[in-house]
Parts: sequence; structure tokens; C-alpha cells
Amino acid sequence: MSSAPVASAPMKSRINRNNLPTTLIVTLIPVCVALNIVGGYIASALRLPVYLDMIGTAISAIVLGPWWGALVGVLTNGGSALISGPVSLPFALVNVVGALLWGYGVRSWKMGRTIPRFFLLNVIVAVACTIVAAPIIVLVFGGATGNGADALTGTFLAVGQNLVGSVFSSNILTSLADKIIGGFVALAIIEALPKSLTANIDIVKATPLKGILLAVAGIVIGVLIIVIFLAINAGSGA
Amino acid sequence: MSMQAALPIAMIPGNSIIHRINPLAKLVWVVGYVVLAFSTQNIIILYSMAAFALLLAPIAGVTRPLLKGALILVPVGSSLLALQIIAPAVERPWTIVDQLGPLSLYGDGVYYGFVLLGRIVASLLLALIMVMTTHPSDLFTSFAKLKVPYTLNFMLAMTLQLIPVFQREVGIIMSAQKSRGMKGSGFSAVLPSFVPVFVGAIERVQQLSISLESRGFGSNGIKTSYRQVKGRPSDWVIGIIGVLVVAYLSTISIMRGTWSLATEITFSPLFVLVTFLVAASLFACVVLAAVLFSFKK
Repeated sequence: MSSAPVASAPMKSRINRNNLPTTLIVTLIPVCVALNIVGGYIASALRLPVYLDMIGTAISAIVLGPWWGALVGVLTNGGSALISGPVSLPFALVNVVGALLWGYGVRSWKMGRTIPRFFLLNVIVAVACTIVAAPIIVLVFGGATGNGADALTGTFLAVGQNLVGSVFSSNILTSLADKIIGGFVALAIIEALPKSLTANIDIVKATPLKGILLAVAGIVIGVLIIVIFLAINAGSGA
Repeated sequence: MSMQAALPIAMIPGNSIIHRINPLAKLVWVVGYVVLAFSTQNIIILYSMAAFALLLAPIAGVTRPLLKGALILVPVGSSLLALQIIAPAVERPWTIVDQLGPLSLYGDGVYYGFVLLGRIVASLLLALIMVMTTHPSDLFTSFAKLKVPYTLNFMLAMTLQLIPVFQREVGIIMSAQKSRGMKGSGFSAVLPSFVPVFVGAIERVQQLSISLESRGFGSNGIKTSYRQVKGRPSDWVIGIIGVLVVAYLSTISIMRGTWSLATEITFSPLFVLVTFLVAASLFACVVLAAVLFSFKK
């Protein structure tokens, strides 16, 4: 047995651009990764129709920075690969895209200043995540995700939509609900964090979820009508 | 609310020959399996890989937990086959072999569906066997030998340690909130359950950070590990065999344009119809069972 590591020369930079000690960041990241994984289990325990497995990514991207969020995304899928096999690894790309958009959106493009702007940011994240996820779902899983949304994919296929279009159409619905609700849950969590972590972030105060849920329901129903219309059009055109 | 069973995949202690293999040699095989699985469309190779992984399970004494872990494939596998039969993810033209109401069933989809399923099954089974027979610390010690930065190693190791801790925490917080009258399900329970779990976890990180700082985390010098992982000659042999087999089969597959047997293997219309009906029914049953179970709870 060897002894514990002995401290020698300290690192050159112990404080980064966030004014947070490196050790704090090194410990915050695994916490966000674990919370991503556990968040999915809380959502299923609460019997929610959404995943909520990117809240840790959103928090780290907004509080620490987009690239730290991207690292959380990569580690989330890396950790999941150690738990449930390597097929989840390609989805790290979805997590990375979400982290970069949340991070740059709030920190650089100031999209966290008002509730409507933050709402729009979450819609952008949802659309971008679907654009990245749909081809991966088709290539790795042949369009299947193993949840109820596959029934919707099958319905779109039955009316004549192609596979990628069908996967995109069903995924955008779940993604919109998931990312918007997840984004606002992250906002509530960020507000409750110690001020030392959030002092430099220009972000609006959290709002009750009830109004957001109504807006999400409206958007999802609107998008559902559009994708059904597009699928029927694609079917009659084929 | 108990969430103890939420993550069933963990190391199963044992002293089998598979347990004693060096983690790096096992990792070579897992990576090799993924590379080979995604470079070939030959279902004989894919299902031989899955069968080989299944053969290792009784040797390692992990058959039961492995099959339990592989259950996660039922919904995705059944859905995958059903979707592929009605819309193959291969280039047109597709061959219609049967008609079921408005749905056309394609023979090409059956083959490609089995290819996709074979890839997932083979990769997952071997990866699960590796996880179930390898101590996480040994794996991270091996990563360190591969020159993976120890900060990254630390983060990954800490993540795996934190997951069960947070699961316990979720159970405690949910019980506490329910005793205060919180609903146990639905969107109204989202903020009262997520916020305390996340904020509590992040606040406690500050203590951990100070603890790391006081132990000289980030200092220069050679990093040592409590657990020592040694590579025996047999581990080298296993690793090299893995690399050679994967390199050989992958090269042949790539040279033969993924080595697909889609033209050699034809499926009867009855087989396609039965496969579709079984897969679709199985998926519908899984979804229905999940819905009923959630209402019962």
C-alpha cells in the first residue's frame, strides 16, 4: 500500500475566470453529472412524461461556463456508459450542444435577463438538441428510443413520413417540454445557490412553474399540429 | 420512496477468472466490441459476439444480474424492430414482403433491424460484464496508467460514488416533503423535490472542496493509488488476442463494404409478419405496463 499523495508545488492557477477555486469546480462537476443521472430517476419517480436529465448540464453551463457544462455533458454520458453500456455515448453530443447554448445564451448573449428571453433560449436548446439527437437515434437505434414517443414515431411513419422526419417530429415534442421545464427548474435551483457561485451571472429571478407549464402545453400542442400537418403532406406527396 | 433499485448495475464481487483479468485488457475487448459492432452489418458476427459475451456470464458468475441489466433492451429492442420493419433505415428501393392494413412490411427492415439490435446487444452485454467484474477503483487506476489526467479520473470516480448517495438523499427529501403534504407525483412536486436535492448537494461540495485543497489536490508530483493493478502475461495475451480478432474482422468487414448478408438471407412474409406483430405487441405491453404501474403506485 502506498501513502496518500503528498502536496508539493501548488498549481500555477488555483483561481479561474469564474473567481472560483479549481478544487470547487473539480467537485462541482461530478455533482452536476450525478445530478443529471439522478434527475432522470426523480422524474420517473414523480411519474413525469419528461426526462429532466440535463438540469445538471444547464446549471453548470450557466454558473461555471459553457465549456464546463459541455464537460458535464460528456461525463454524464461517459458515466452512463459505465452503468448501462456504451450505446449512450453518442448522445454526449446532444448534452454538449445543450450546454454550449445554455452557457453562451445566458453568459454571452444575455438571454437570461427576462423570462421571455430565457424561455426562447430553452426553445432554441430544445430544437438544437433534437436536430443533433434525431440522426443519432436513427443511426444507432434505428429510430427507437424505447419510450412512449416511439408510438408517435410509428404513427408518423404510418401516414407516410420518412424515418428521420418521424423521429424528428416525435423527438421535438418531448424535447420542447423537457428542455423548457428543465431550464426553468435549473433557474429555480440557481436562485437558491450560494451567492458566491452566482454573483457574476446576469439572470432573471425564478418564476412559478405553473405559468411555464401552460406555455409549454401551448407550444407542444402547436408544434404537434404542425408536425401532423407536415407528416400528412409528406404522406400524400410520396 | 425507495430508489435503491433504480441503478441495478454495479460490481458483483467475486474471484472468477473474468474478475481477475486486468481492467485494461477488458477495456480493450469492450472498445473492440463497439468498433467491430459498428463496422460490420454481418448478423452472424454480431450475434456470435453476443453469444460469446453470454458465455462469459456463467464463468464470471453474473448471469442473473446480467440478464436483469439486459432487460432495459426489451422496450428499445422491440420498438426498434417494429419501426425498422415499417421504415428501414437503409437506402431505397425496399422490398415489400407483406401488407398489414395501411402498413407495408419490408424485408430489408427485418435484416437491418436485427443488425442494429445485434450491435446494441453485443456491446451492452460485454460492457455490463466488464462493469460487473471490475472494481471501479481498479478501472480508474488503469485509466491513470493510460495517462488519463487524474483530475478527469477523479471527476468520473466521484460521479459514480455520488450517484447512490444522491439516490438516498432523494428518498429522504421526498419522504420529508410528503410528510409536509407535498403530492408524490406530477409537476407540482417538481420544484419541492428537485431544488432541495440539487441545492443541498451543491452546497455540500464546498466542504469537499476545502478538504481537497487541504490534501494538496492539484499539486505537482507523482500521484499514487491505494489499489494496485498489475498486468500479468495472461492479461497481455488476452488484450492482444482482442486487438487482433477485432482488427481482422473489422478490416474484412470494411473491405467487403460492411459485409452485409441482406441479399443472402431472405425472410418469409410469415416470419416478417410474426416478427412485426411480436415486436409491436411487446412494445405496446411495455408501455401499457409502465402506465398501469404508475397509476397503481
